[in-house]
Amino acid sequence: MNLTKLFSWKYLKENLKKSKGILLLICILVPVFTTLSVTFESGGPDIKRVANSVEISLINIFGMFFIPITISYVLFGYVFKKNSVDLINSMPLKRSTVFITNTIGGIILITLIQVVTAILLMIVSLVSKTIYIFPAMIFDMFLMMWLAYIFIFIASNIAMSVSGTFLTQCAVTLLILFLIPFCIASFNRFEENNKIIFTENDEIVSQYVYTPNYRTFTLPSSIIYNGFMSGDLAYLPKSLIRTALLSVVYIFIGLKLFEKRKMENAEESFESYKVHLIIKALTMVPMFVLVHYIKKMDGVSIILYTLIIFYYFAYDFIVKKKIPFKYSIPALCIITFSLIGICNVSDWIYDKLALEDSYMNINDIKEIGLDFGNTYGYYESDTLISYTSDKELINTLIEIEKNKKSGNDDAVLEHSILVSVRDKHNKEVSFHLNVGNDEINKIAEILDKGYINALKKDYTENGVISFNNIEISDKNVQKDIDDELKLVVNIMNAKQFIEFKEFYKEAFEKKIYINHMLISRLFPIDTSNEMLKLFADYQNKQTMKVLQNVSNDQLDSWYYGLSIENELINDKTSTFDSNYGNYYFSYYEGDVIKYIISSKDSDFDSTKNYYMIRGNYNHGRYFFDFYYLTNDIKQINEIVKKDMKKVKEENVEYYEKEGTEYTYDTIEEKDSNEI
Amino acid sequence: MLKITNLNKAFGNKKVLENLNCNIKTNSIYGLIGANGAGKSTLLRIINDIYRRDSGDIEIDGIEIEDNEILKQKLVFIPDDLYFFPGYTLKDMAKFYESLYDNFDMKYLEELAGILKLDINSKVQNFSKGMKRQCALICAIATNADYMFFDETFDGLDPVIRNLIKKIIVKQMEKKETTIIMTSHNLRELEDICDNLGLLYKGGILFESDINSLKTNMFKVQISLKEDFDKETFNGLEIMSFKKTGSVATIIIKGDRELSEDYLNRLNPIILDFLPLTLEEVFIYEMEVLGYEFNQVI
Repeated sequence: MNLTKLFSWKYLKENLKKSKGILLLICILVPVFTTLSVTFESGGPDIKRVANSVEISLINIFGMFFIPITISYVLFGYVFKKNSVDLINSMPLKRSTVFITNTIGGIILITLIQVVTAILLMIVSLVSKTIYIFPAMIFDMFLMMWLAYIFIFIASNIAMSVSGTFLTQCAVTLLILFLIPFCIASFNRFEENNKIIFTENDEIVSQYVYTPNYRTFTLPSSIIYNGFMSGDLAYLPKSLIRTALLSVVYIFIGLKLFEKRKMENAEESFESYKVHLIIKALTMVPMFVLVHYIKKMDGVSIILYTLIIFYYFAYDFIVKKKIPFKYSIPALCIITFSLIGICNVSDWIYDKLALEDSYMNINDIKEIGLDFGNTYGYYESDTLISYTSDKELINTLIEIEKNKKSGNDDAVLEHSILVSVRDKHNKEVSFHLNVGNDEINKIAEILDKGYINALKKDYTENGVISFNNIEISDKNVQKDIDDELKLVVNIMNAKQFIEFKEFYKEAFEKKIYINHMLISRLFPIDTSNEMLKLFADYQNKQTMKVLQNVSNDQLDSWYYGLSIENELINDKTSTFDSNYGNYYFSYYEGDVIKYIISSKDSDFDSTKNYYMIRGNYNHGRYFFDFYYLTNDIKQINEIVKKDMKKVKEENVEYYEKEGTEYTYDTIEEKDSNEI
Repeated sequence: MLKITNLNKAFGNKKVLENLNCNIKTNSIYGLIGANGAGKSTLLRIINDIYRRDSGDIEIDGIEIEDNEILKQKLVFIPDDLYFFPGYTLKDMAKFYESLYDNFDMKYLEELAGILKLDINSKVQNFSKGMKRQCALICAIATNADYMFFDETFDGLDPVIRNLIKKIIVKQMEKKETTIIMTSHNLRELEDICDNLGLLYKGGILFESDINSLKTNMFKVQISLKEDFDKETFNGLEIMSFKKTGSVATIIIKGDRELSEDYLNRLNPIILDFLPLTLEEVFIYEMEVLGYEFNQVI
């Protein structure tokens, strides 16, 4: 194969030239809108923050579903019109040259889009006074999106090679990209197959239902099934490799299909009615899978089956502009019964396989990772799991598991830890472990020996550290970050890490980009009251500067703070944790500041500590974060009471609508009084 | 030379070309005629490697054509349904051809556009149907390809332009050894330009011949003899058709004209007139001999 003959620059130039308008539009769409969206996310002229992976790739993800297929259509769309087929295919070009040239052209365009997007993001990060974007994160997102776009483009080219119209090309592209992942994910999600059952000597020790891992799909599916690139799921190395390899394979498949393509099929759906029917049946698979599970949960839905039948005929009408009833009706019967049968059999087989796969012998566990941030309600997707093979820790957790099985399930469990385990077969699973104070102290003792130090090492050895949501009115971001870092580093150098049970008291939140993850962390520091006072004064001075420079309507997105009021936090945490799920109230930072300004403006003292509470709902539990501190307990009481009253009214209204009764009045009163 | 052997092509279950055999000499104009749906366009598309054949061989100058971009430099194809890139001017289209054909002559194209009064800087989409065809034809001619395939060549052209195009084609053949293969369902369009004609019917070449021998070997005679006569009277001639109205018969004779004339004069005719035959009439009688109704095949 002569590679130079497979690429014709002259043809590519002409092919791009003929569609320069739409190509220009496509090429600027993602870079421009990504830049605009990241810029407009800033919230205000003086707010400094770290952009996350979702922000910088959201437009790209939307674009992923139409830009590659549009590029494919622009470059190869001639195959869908008989007269343009005559023109292009009569030219002195081999079919393989046309295919490879256009494929390379598409990849160049996609590269251009992604490079320009990445460069613009870097410029935004450098020029903007309010946003910091980690260059490593920009590169990771570039790599992910670049490969995802290329993969979709190549899949579209395969679809083009077998289709006669753009509509059928779209249908086949979606099937190539999503049919198998959708079916696997559906069986997983609906069947609750995601169990991990810990065994010892063939006896079940405990079991968990965990979030399934979809990080091995190809990128487009992985991106969707992993929360559109949020948190630590943003970087998908297994998907990257799989996608890269499949892309190469798909190029060759596309090439061979294109060489064999019957050009006379232009303007027809497919080569034959049989192929048309098969593709139509495949597009119906996701519908039958969904209906299968809906049926299992809520009984038979005639409406859904009716909709599928409507789709069946509508597909013919849209794609072929006619409905051949003579063939369609018998085919519909065959397809319907076949797909219902396949769904049931697959369901049964998958169930059996998943159950076998869900066992893990606790003696095979070789590594374990803990995330304590979750005690505060942080999503596991935002946290870094550092694995340890510390036998003592593993054995302690196994013991906790066993004890739990032997009757501690009903105990009041105050801490929720995200536990990740990896066995000797490299099977990896994460789940939440709820433990009581005694157990957490036991774990903390072990951790104090080395695990926290390991974490500390992780953070301090990884270059740039920046703070989340820093709101300082100074103009120079880097200078602010440097100042903050200096302060924290001074404190850290002065003291050692605290023991785990005191973890939250001196917590400090920041974001770092490490191991392809943007991590939001509460950073434990051990310090004296004097140091804390010094730090709080510094923070409050900055806060005061902000408050003096902003108008009320800007306040909603502001927050900044440090928790130092130990007793107060301890009391509240204990009370809230032991009654989790009973009530929920939420303060937004702006509300607190607005309240302070509106009611106590003249009394506001930047040297005093101000306090705010923020509630989160996560995994069926409520968690509370503490930001602003105050030494004015009365003030806080007023805020909390006001908000709890509001929440109560909302709850009563909600429960009345639901036909049940709201029964948490006494708890609410108790908590309110405790504050 | 273009040589087609046992060519077969089917669209689904419908056979379009069936065991088609054909030889086209170089430096000639070959007219391919046939009714709509006879397979003329499909044949040209297969020769130009646009469609893939099911079986059979196609060789140009002894070289197999499939996926052969070097050989395709020698071929240019203008289909019946023309396509121009949206927003392109004639000059843009010419540049497109120029980028892919090594021997494209831009100056010649400009010269031809001048002859045909086509503005090369106007958008082709704004041209009339006939002007679009002129654009396509001059682009093709400017490629200087050895083999030019024109499907429904003169469709949409007025008689003046049609003649002008014919002259341009002939001039091209004078300039350079060129083989032209053109199709039409209208025999009259081809008769004054083609050297050879092939009739495509039901997927195969039903009949082919060079036009000169077709026209010179067949002639129409009106004759009346003193005595009563019938078809048997002319047994010494190859009679293609015999119609007698009253005492005058109209006979289509195939063969050497001089010999036939001598033969008829020996019968002492009262009336003997030799009338010219149009190509269409020649075809009609040839078809009748083969057992086909002319109206069925064209």
